[in-house]
Amino acid sequence: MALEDYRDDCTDCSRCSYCKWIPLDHIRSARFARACPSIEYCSFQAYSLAGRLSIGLSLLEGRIGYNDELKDIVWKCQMGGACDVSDKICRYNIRGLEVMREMRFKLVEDEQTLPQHKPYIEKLHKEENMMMEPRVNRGKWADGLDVKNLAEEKAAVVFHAGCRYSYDKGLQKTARTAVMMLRDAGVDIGIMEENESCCGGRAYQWGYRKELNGFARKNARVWADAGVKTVVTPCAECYYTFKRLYPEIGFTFEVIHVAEYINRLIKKGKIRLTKSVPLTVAYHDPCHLGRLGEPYVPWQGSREKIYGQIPVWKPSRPRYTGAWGVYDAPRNVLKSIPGLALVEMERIREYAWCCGAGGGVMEAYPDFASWTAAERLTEAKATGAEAIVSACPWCERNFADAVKDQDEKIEVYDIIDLVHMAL
Amino acid sequence: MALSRDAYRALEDIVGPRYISEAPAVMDSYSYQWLAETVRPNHSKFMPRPEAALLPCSTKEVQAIVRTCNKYKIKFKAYSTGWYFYGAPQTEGVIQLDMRRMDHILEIDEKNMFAVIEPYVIAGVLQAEVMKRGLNCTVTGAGASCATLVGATCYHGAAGTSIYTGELRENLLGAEWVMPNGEILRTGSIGSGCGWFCAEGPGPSMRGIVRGALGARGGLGVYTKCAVKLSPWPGPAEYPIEGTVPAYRSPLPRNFRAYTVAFKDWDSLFESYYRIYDNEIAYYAHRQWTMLGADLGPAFWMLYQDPTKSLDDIEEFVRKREVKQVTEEMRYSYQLVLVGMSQRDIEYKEKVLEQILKETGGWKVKKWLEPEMEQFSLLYLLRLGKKNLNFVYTGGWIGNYMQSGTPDFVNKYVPLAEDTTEKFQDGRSRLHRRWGPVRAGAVWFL
Repeated sequence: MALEDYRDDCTDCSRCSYCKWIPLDHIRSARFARACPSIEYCSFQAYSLAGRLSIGLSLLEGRIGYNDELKDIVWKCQMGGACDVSDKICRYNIRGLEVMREMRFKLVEDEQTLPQHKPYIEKLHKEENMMMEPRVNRGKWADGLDVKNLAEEKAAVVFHAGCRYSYDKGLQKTARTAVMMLRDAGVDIGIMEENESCCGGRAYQWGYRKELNGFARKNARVWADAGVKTVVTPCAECYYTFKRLYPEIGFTFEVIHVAEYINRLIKKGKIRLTKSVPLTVAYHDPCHLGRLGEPYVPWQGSREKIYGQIPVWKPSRPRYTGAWGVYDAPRNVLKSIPGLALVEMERIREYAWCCGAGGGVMEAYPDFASWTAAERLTEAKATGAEAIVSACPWCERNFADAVKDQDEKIEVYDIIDLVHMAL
Repeated sequence: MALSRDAYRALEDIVGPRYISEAPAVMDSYSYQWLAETVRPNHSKFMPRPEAALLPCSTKEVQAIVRTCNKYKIKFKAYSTGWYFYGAPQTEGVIQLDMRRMDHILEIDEKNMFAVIEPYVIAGVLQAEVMKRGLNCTVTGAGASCATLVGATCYHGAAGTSIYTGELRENLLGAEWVMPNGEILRTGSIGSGCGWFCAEGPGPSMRGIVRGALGARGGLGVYTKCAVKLSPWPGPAEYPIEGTVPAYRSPLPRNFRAYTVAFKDWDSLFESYYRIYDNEIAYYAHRQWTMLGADLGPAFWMLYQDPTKSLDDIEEFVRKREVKQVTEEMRYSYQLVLVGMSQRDIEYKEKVLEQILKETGGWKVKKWLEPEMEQFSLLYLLRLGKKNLNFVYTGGWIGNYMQSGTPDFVNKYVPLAEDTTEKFQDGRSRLHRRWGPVRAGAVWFL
């Protein structure tokens, strides 16, 4: 695909402003009605989905050229897709998020990259991770764990820790807990240790398209060699990449997020939660597990007019509304924990506010990432929650850093940690 | 014609460097406008590019901007959410004021039933806040994503609830206006320090100049705040939302009813409307489901209930036997919400409606009595959170030949609209023949 293939999506926008708000039916207060961190932080219309669609058209028509201001508009966005959910309420099924991603691809292909991203991508090429860490240290998070190494053994399930859990020392224990919990529940599970590679999804969202294929091929090969049928990951971004992006380029495995797997094991009685965890928590839906966590639907088609008036796609184009993301499994897990009270924020499920870490924002615009996280923490605190819980290490890192930077008074947990506390 | 550096610096000094831009990409995000192609050469989607965009945060800043514009002989245009090309520059050499930083609800006076708002308060937000206080606001046909101040001061201001809540042009209780010369005028009672209760005074009554019937559409100074009248809301403090995106639903409280009522012909339909109006039983009365054409409207709304379906699937739905039946059943129809201030009140209103339907030969369309359709309908009609769906299929309201008005007006206008349709219809846009009778268009405040 190329930006040109999205011309209709750009011209279909009627500037209704839905993309700036959570679905209007859901608005409960002035304070938490907004959906898009980008325009809330940057203010100008250009920083909304509608603005970026018009800029896409402007690029196609040659009205504007490349400069730093354009790069700022293109990359100062977490690509969390809240705008895309609201815009799917529109009649035309506009592929807003895809247009924004395609603009990134175009700029990268035209060597108009963001300087802040450059060292990360160079390291990715060399060390195969997004943390700028040496490749040889990838498996250290699991040092001493009694779990199969799938470079040498076979297992039906691979636990893919992801870059953040593999290298972030403050979070590694969560990954260790998760894999041991699954093993103890009788799952035939193993890890790739230093043979695990980046999923490629994070770079893809930054605009580095071609890298995805290489990582997909490599991961698929090592999983196949180890007899893997199911990929389990505690990282929402990896989940999205395996579930949505890999099938798009021909690599298909069963993909399950750890929260879904734990939910399954609790229902089967393989995990029993007995200890009380007396906490009031608000669950934060990670963008890539929630609204972006819908399965890939293959499609190829073209546009026609019917009744001499209505432009439609033939065959019918899939409509990613966010309706089929993973929302209930993590909530069910939390509700299974004795003593724990789950409270809901105003912006949840498909219209959740982003944590701020995605799309290369945490690396290129740390202040913006921190501001976005602080906004979410404020929302969590407004519910009376003592803690915010997520199911993605990128959310947790960004929240934890914002708590520290902004002296917030709220705890940050992964859902795995709370389950572990209840065992 | 770029701004002179002196002018730019003067404007930058007012709002600060973070809130002014003249970057071409930023400017094109402002000049892109829906339906620009209807007024621009070569059907361009872009209106003339502004010379700069500014985001003021206060009346004081707006005033300073206007004075600076006058000093440097620069034209300016303000918009709130920016829907429609009226708010964009119509010529070269104009700066765009984007009012999104002025987004505060300044006051909600429960006792006197009004709200004082800034330009970027959208109807969805205002409604959510006033409902907590047992009040409701007028959500104009532009929908819940559009700014309430605009409907009150600068444009039409009609709504599906106009029969109960009034139109925003009627609901305006005064405005703070930065006039084209940079002076601030507070219109109506607020102008004489008496509070926000009447747009006509005591104080300067400028309603006719400020807005007339349709308003100046952003072309006459800048409105920086206004007060709007609110209405009683005997419903829940917030909508309980159920269902799946995009067709969210809200269960009906016991004192609410949501119907699609249909008739055998237009005359019966209009007669029923008069009687409903005379008996004062409606909270909402409007033709929504057939706005995109009586032939296709029902099919669209039925497919919209399924999150896996989209407009791409409409032909499949049109062919369904059930849809064909519903289409015929509701060819001459409108939507009605009854709200009881008490249980007795709703029972009374229900009885009156039954009698009116009996006398005019009308009926309640069965499909829309199904609980899920009823609940979708209630939420859609009262919040108007998806208004955008109604437009464009038939070329927008232009495709409906602007049949906006009361039943009297629309009825009388029909022959002219039909003649016009015939005259301008070409092989590619057989609007009313394909989509249902011409009267299937936008009868705005039925």
